[in-house]
Amino acid sequence: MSERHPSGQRSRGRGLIGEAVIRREDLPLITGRGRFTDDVTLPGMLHAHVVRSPVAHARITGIDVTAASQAPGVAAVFVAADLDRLGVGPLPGADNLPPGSRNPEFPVLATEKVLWAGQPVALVVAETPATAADAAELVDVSYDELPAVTGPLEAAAPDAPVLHDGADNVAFVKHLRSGDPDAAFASAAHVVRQRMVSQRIAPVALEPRGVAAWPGDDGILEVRLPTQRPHGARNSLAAILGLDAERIHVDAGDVGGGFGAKGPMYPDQVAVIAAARALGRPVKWMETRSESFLATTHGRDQVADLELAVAGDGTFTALRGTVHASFGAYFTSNAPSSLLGRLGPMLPQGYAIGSIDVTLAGVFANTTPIGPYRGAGRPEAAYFTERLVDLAAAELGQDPALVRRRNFVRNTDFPHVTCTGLTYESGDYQVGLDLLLDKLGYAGLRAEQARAREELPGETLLGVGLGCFVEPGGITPGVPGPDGSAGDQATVTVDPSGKVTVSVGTSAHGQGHQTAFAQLAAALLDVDYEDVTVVFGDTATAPFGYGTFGSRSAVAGGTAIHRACERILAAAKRVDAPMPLAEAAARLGGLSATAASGAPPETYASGAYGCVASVDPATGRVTVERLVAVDDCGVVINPLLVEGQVHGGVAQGLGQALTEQVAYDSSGQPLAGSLMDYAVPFAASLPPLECHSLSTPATTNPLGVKGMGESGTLGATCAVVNAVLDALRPRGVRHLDMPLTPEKIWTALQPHGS
Amino acid sequence: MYTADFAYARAGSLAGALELLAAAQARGEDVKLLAGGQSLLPMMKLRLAAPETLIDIGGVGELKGVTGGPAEGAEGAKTVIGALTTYRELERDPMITATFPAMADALAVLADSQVRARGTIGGCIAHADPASDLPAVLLALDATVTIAGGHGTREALLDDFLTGIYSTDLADDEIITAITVPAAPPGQAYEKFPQPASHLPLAGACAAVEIKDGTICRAGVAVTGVASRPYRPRDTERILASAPLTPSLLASAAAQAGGAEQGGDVRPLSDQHASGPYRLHLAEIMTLRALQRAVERASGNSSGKAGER
Amino acid sequence: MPASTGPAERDVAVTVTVNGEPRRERVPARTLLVHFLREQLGLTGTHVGCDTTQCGACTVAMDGVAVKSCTVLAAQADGHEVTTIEGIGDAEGLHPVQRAFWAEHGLQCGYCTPGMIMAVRQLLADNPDPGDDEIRRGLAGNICRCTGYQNIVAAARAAATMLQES
Repeated sequence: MSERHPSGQRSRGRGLIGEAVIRREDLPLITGRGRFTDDVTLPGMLHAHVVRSPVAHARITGIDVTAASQAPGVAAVFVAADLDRLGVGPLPGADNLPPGSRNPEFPVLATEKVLWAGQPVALVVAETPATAADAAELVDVSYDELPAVTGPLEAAAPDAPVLHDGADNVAFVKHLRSGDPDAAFASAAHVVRQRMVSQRIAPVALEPRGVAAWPGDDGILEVRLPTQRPHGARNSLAAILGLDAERIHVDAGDVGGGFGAKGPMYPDQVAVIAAARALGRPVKWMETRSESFLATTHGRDQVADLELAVAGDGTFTALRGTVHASFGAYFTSNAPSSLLGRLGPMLPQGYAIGSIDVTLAGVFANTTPIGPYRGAGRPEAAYFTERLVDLAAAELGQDPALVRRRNFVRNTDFPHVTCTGLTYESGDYQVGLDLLLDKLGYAGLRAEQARAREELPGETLLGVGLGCFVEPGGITPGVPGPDGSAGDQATVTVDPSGKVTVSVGTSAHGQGHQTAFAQLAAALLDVDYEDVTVVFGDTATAPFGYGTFGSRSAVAGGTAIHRACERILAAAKRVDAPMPLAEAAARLGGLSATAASGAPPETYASGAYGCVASVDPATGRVTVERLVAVDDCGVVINPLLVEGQVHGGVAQGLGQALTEQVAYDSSGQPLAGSLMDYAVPFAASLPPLECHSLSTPATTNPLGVKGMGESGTLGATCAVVNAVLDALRPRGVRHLDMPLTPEKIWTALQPHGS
Repeated sequence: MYTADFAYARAGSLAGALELLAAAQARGEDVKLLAGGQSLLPMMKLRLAAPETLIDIGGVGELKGVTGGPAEGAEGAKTVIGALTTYRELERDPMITATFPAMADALAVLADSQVRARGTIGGCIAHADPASDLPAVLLALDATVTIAGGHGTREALLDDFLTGIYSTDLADDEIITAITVPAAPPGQAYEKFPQPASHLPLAGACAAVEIKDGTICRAGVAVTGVASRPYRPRDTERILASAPLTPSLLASAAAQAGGAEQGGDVRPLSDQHASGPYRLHLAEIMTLRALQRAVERASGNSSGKAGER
Repeated sequence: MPASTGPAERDVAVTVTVNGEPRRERVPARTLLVHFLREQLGLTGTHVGCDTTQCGACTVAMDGVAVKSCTVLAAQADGHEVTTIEGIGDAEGLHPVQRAFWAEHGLQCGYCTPGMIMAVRQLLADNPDPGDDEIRRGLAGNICRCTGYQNIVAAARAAATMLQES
């Protein structure tokens, strides 16, 4: 197929790990033969349309579905009371909250109040999508509007309109404190202080969400769901619908991107599934893009007020401050973990900072619920810290690269325990940064910049920005799963003909696991790559697992596959003489082994990114001239796939840095309701990306791999913003919040600007 | 994603279209003409428009194609562009791109290739989006609109035809049949500052200049995306013709691009993408850049490359 | 194109030659070409990714020119030829653009891919030897959220080479 395909050379054996094998999943996708949820059509299928609240905060004073129910082609209209009668429960709220937190139930369809513009209120089921949409316009809901609040700080204020029961909107407060932050700040030579916003953004997977459900054979509820977590979705559904998990079959099929937003179970999907059960017919619902801006979880939405204490020699000694995070109207299951388990604990990044005193506050607001979005707390932590580091360098009058290098955890100091209690197993941040500076031609760029500032002060402003980061990956619950074993499972089967099937509980949606895991299994078993089939995404054929999110699949799924392969190899030794695995399998009538990953410690990948950006002072427009990425994710299974992850993450990071924002007006109406207004990067928004790597293998899993699926969003966001602000610094601009729109920059450059 | 229900009729000729239009109106129907549909159909899908009847004029051959222009006649001939001529046909027409470099600039950055394949010049004018590229070019080039109705045909200056946000002087029983562009000097350019999601201009400016003996003897300037309709900054045009051509003349002329529209002040649009003052500022910068490139081209330097996206 | 000017109808009969085969269906007038392809003809390779004509996932060729099938009525395609992703190549014989996307890792989730391939096919028909900037600007009508476009640009370049060599 391509020079990248190792076919005929290293198609088996250990050498397959690290090969740029082109993807085996691509053929159907490039020929229009994929199987996405919207491609499912069954005889007698009905179509649903969700009636959503047009207002951000209101009491529902009445719902009249008479006209809609009688409209042509309508099979049924469901409101909250109907789901109550069907025993369809609310969504349970969030997991892993600190003691004493508020954790309101999340209704499937709104009951007395609506808390965001877009909250599901009713579900219309009809013969065609168009007739369902027509009838939805006839559902008559009366609202008694209430004042709304949308931003994290505003929502946390004592006089803010309150969403849920209780006196305010603060769901939890958690303190991270260790070392001696008070002494560090008291003795600091410099204290760098900044309010920074990681703005609310939308994931925009190209395939919108949806679901198709129908009653299957033997009373099994069949659910076709574009999800990152098929088993998790099944188990959530079982609890919400009051069914045994074994009675539900979830099949993800092809999933058109997720970026975290296809992790949670959503109320609209539950309503559609409940409707299919109630009606005894297949029902399908696909979200429209405009609807997705209201209904699919958003990411980020935090305001950080942070301070960095710096000693006279430029050493960082402590971090302190407060981060307010909005979670929107309701908690989705793992959203608070982004703040509590990621953003807060990762604030030290790759720097040896001894003390911390940070308060994390989670609040509710009249906005779309927040969910994990690529990075989920990691890009925010990296961004806040990397901005502070650049501000510190400016205050010290030193080069930002030097300041970073001085403060990095040294490569001889691993494993390194952060002041927040995380253990970084391995890394070499200095070498990563040096490689970046070399590839950037950093010294030359600084000289060019100095010359331009001297000679052409009014012309295009040139900036160079760095973004160094540590990315935790591979999160796996430490508690045993439903069947008692910890982590994700993998089943490896060798049939008597020697064909190998690997089924695994992680669930790819674009990452290329069919290819990567086949490489892995073929390498570990020393069989031919073409003889290995990989299965996931279907609860009927894949063993239990937590799915694919949080840069976890290579670590958790890979470890499970490794363990299962070890068991296969041990079992194959039952034959009396050494022989190839296929022969042993033939002798033994086939082999099969299942293993669980356990809870391998999280891995800590790292990276150093650089950006060269120019700003047109006449308009404020930014041009990203270069983006250079250096990633260290330990052992790489397939560099083609790793680079692909970097490319996508970089684009999303650049989107947050420059153009993307979900903003609301004062009444809680979203200002960007479609792709006409919400600006994701286009091909012309990006320069050619320059990707480089180094490898310090993980020491905490048998493969040496580190999760890296989100690295691009960490590095690019920091590097792009730091580059733009580096360009603006001579003009007296200290900090601007993302997105760095031309108008914001132009305004800051005006004499009266900030 | 699904439009409201409507009735559909297809016109085979201009006369047939006018008949269908008159008949639908006689029945009191809310009727819309469908040309390429690249603006109307998205609005219908979002149910921001829900006409009861659509009359598809897309197949009316007599409204397609380009006639006239220097290729067919003497220097100075008018160019007549059929209303149903697509952007793609225009951008691939060597006579158009050679005669109207500003139009080539605009076509290269207008929407995207797929939309340009269906969108028509007449549909664009009829839609009257305040943030639309081509009207700025046509306005600066003194284009006229030919309109057919039940009572015959009339001509209107585009400047008179565009009346506001999504509104024109087109009567309910009329159809735009052609856009006519008079002979234009080669010194023209269009510059655009795009909104990053829609690619529509937050500000776009077209300049057309004719230079004699170091002085601009004729200037047409138009700005789009900034106000409720594309407009001609008359003070800019006056200043350009008032003194010998120098860089500072261009700058002081451009400085008036956001200043006055037909004698009155421009009331700029303001939304989450750009405030009014920023739009006015962009109007000045885009006008200045369009003027600089137009002057370059007038001086026989064709290098002025098309505006970047 | 039939020249008839009948009365306005809520249901229309349309005949579209899809991937070389004439297909005749009676559909509601409001049926979009993309839904005609997906729902009437079962050609689900053409995807819907937005509702405002931005994302390009629904790109097909109409009379040989790439258009967004979510912004064309099936009725407007009556009497015309439409080519979808299914029509340009299959496992037995891939189109060079399909081959290039595969070889260059030009796709991840694959949802934008059919539209992206159809758009690149048009781009190369219009400009057989484009530079990187021309490719990037030429894809203004298509959104990909997975690849950062890096390998899509590489695929377009590789396809250009393949097409020029063939």
